[in-house]
Amino acid sequence: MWSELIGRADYWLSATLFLIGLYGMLVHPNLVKKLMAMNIMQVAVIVFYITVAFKSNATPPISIDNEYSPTAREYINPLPHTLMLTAIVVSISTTGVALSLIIRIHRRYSTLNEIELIAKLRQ
Amino acid sequence: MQPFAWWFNRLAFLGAATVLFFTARNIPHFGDPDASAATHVSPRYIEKAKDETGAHNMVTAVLADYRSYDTLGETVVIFTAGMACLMVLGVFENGRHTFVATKMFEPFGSNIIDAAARMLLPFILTFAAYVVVHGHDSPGGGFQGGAICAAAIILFKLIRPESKMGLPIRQGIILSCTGLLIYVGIGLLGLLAELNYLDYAALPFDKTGGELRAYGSLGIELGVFLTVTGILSLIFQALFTGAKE
Repeated sequence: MWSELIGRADYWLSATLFLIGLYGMLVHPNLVKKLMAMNIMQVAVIVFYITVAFKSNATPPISIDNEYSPTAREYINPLPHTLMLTAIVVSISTTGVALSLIIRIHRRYSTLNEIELIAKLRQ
Repeated sequence: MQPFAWWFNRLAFLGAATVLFFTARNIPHFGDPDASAATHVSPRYIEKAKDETGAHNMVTAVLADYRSYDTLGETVVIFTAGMACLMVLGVFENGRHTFVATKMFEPFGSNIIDAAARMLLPFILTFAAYVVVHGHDSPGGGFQGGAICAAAIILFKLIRPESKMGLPIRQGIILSCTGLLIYVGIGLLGLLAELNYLDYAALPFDKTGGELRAYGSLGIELGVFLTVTGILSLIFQALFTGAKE
C-alpha cells in the first residue's frame, strides 16, 4: 500500500492535476475559468508523458559523441518528448481559438456566466 | 433539488476519479527502464537515429524525420487555429474581411521597460535563430524557435502598440502560408523522385544517408518556424485588436 503511494507519486501528481482541471471544467460556470481549467488538464497530461519518458541513470536524448553508438538504457525515451512538443503547440492553438470565441460571446451577450448565458439564449 | 446537470457533472467527476485511482496498478514505476513505453519502438530511435537521420538530438530526429508526417499534421492544426481566430474575430465591411484597430489595453510603456525591451530584442531574435538552426545538435527546433520569435514580436507590440514595427496581419498570413508550402514542397520532392512522400533521399544535394536527410529535416524545421511565428503573432493581434462595435 505504502509503496504503491510513494512509488507512483508522479502518477498521483498528474492524476490530481487532471482531476482539478476536470472539476473546474465541469462545475465552474465562468467560461474563462473553464478555459483555465482546460489548460491545467493539458499540463497534467504533459507532466504524465514526461514522467513516463524518464529512466533511472539515463541522460537526456542527445548523443554528443560521434564515434560512440548509444544503447537504449543510457538515454531517456525521446518519443514522449516529441509527442508533448506538438501537444504544447496544440494547446496554444486551442487556447487561442477558445479565447477568440469567448471574446465573441462577451461582445454579443455581455456576460461570461454560463447560467446567465443560457437564460439569455432561451429568451 | 438541484437540476439534472448538477448531479451529472459531479457523478462524471467521481467516475473519472475512480477510473484514475484503479488504473494506478498498471502504471509502471517511476524511472523503470523496462516500462512498456520504453521498449517497443523507442530503442530503435535511440540506437539508430544518429546514423539514419544525422541528428544528434533524438527528439528532433523523431519529430522531423521518423514522424514528419505527424508534424505536418500538427503544423496544419496550428495554421487552421490561426485562421479560425481571424475568422471568428474579424468583421465583414464593404465586402472585405477586415479588422478595425481599437484600443483594448493601455500600453505599459514606461521609459525603463521601453529601454530594456529595445536592448533585449536583438538578443531574443538571435536566440530564436540559434534555436532553430542548432536544433539538430542541441535542444531546439522549429516549434520552439517560432515561439521565441513570436514572443519577441508580442513583447514589442505590448510595449508600443502604435508602432509600425512587428508583423501586420497580412504579412503574418503570407509568412505562415509560406512556411506550410515549404513543408509540403519538401514532401512533394520525394513523390517527384518516385520515392515516398517526405522521403528526404530525393533532395538535390551532393550528400548521402544521414547527412542528406539532415538537410531535409532542417528545411522542414524552417517551414515550421515560419508557420509558428506567423500564426502566434496573428493570434495575438486578432485577440488584441477589436472589431468595430
